Amino acid sequence: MRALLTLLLLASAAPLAHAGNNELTMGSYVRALRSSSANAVTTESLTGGSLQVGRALHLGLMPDLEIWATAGLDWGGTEGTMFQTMTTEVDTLGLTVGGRARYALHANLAVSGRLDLGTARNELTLTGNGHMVSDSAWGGTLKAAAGLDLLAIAHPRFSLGLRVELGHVAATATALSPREAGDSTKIELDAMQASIGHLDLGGTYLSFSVMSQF
Amino acid sequence: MRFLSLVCALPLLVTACAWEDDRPIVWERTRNVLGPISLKTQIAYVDSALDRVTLLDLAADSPRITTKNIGRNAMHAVPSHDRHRLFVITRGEEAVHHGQIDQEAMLWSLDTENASADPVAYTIGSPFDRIAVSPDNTIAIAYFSAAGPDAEGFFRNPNELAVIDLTRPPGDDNPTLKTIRSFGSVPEGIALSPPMTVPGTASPRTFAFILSSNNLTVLDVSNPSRREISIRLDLGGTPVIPKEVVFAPNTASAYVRSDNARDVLQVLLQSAEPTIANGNDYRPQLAELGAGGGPTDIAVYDDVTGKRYILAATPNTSEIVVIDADTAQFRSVPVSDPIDKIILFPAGGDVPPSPPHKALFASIGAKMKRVYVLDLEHINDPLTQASVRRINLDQPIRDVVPVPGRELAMLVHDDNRTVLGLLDMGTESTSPLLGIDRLDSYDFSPDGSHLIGATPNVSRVGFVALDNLHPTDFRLDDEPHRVLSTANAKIFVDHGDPLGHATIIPSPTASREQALVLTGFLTVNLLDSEP
Repeated sequence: MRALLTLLLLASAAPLAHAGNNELTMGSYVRALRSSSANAVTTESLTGGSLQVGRALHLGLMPDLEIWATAGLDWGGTEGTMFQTMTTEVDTLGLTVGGRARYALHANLAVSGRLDLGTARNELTLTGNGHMVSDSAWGGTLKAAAGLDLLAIAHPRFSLGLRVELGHVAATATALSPREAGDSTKIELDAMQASIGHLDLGGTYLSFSVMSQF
Repeated sequence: MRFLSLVCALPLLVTACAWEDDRPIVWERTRNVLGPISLKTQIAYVDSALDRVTLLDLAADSPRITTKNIGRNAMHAVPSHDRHRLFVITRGEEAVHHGQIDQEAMLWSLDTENASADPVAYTIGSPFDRIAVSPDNTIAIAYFSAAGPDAEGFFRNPNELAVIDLTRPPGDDNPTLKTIRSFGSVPEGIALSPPMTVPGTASPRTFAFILSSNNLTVLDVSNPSRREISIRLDLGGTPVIPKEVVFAPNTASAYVRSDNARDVLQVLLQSAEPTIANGNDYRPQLAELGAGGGPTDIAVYDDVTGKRYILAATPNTSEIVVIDADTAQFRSVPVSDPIDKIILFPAGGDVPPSPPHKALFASIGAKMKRVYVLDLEHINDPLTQASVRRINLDQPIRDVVPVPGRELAMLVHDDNRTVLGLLDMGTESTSPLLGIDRLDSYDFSPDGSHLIGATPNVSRVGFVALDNLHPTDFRLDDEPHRVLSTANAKIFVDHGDPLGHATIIPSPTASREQALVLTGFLTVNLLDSEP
């Protein structure tokens, strides 16, 4: 908290300044999984990391409002148990493209809103009684978030700071049919997997990122 | 600054609220999967955590998976005699924690042949853990095993029964809860008769014979509100424990074999005027049939004329006794060995079996190296001399299992079931069968053409063509846990996976290209089910 106040005090002394045209953010997030399908496999939240790049579009809609085109990569995972004996593991890898509107309140402080479309590969692994089965599938995602940028360094061509974002991910539920890994060295019998159902990893998330514009 | 602090704190507050997550308690429950249970062309599994029955229908080329929801905490399941129906007792639940519900113990009747039929639930009130079903699927009785009720609850009544009329919907008078008279013992088993007409009464009905130490209780379960009739079996000495009941419905009688009893007990039901309103209109007449030496096994059969006979082995008198069930006349056949197992041939099979014409007698407990065969065809002819033929074996016998529909018997020569033999009742000769490991799970094809066996350590299913004893095997991708044969001759190999993992082999002669591995059927649509 003290560091945050110091950061804000420093920021309050600086004038409004232009940032660079490029942006790179890297951080971590925690996503509350609240769908019934996610509740089935874990009580934990999804945690992971994200990497995002952005490019200023200079649309000039209004003073101090910047529009950015963004592309991102995020990954995450969580674990859980079912029926006290069966362990579960969920992994996800997402790709997004979208836009961000960023309004500079001060040279060291900005608020932003973000809307991304993307896709995510969800993988579910179940282990029980010595057997492990897994499956993965791609599904669509829609991500909306509001953010706060706190810049420690705010020069005209380079800025560095912290971005805090609160958002929600709406995800299509992906159909999964977990199966045991086969032995590729042997000719195996034809197999048919029953579907375990649809896994929805959507939920509200909070992320902290280090951001830089240059 | 105050504004900025608010801006920072608000998202955290919103996030904290959003993180509150109530996971349904169903995912935290202890899971016990009952099964596989072989039905006609289906295999059933009962899931105590998901509260559902999973049915794999193997009638078509591709297996069809269906699930049927039942009550909380399934604890016991049995198929009907014809394997068309499945009966499940659910323990129920008390709403102690959030997400739990108050639900009483129930008996669920599932018509597995009708995919669209919903399970029928009968509230049985007490957490019974055993079910007896009448041969015609009209009556079921839920009762406690000898272990008695579980630790939950306050008062317990081990002599309580729930009589369920399966032909009527559940209601206030269905099931009927009864407590049978106890003389210090508890039920150890219940046998339900086929429909029997007591001479002098109107219509056929079902009787329950409740077996407990020193007691036999007869209950008219077609009229469950009537009082039961108790029959004391002991003479004040060694406890007499009834073990087996066979019925002769044509004469409204039953034959009871008991441990430590002198004879086979015949219970003949005769009409009687009720002495009270809604009293019994029958009474049992007892007779000790001339076994005379403490029978160790009995078997019943009908000959070509429909006449019913009882075979009883009485080691104490070194005899086998053949009893005419209708007249109670008997004749004895001397046998020196302590016979404790009787098997009739041909036995079982899917087609209606022809009347048995041979009986096999073995001494399992004494581990004798011989068995005996008795011709049954002219056993009632007083002019023929009934005698047994001895078949000598290479090794002591530990078990003998009839092949359904065939005149063959599998002989087991050791406790681990690694040394086997096949007895041909036609030629009365034996052939050895050698396995590479113990036969932990086995079944016969429904027409008796093949013996199918598996052991968990070996990823193979073994077949023996019983016509020529030609052994073949089928390589599996995974180790088997249990092997079953369905009525349409498909072989179902369960791999013991809690997620569901089985290999389905279309026939004993099928190739690997024709087989199919099915996985995940015990978790089918699990993520889509809203608890």
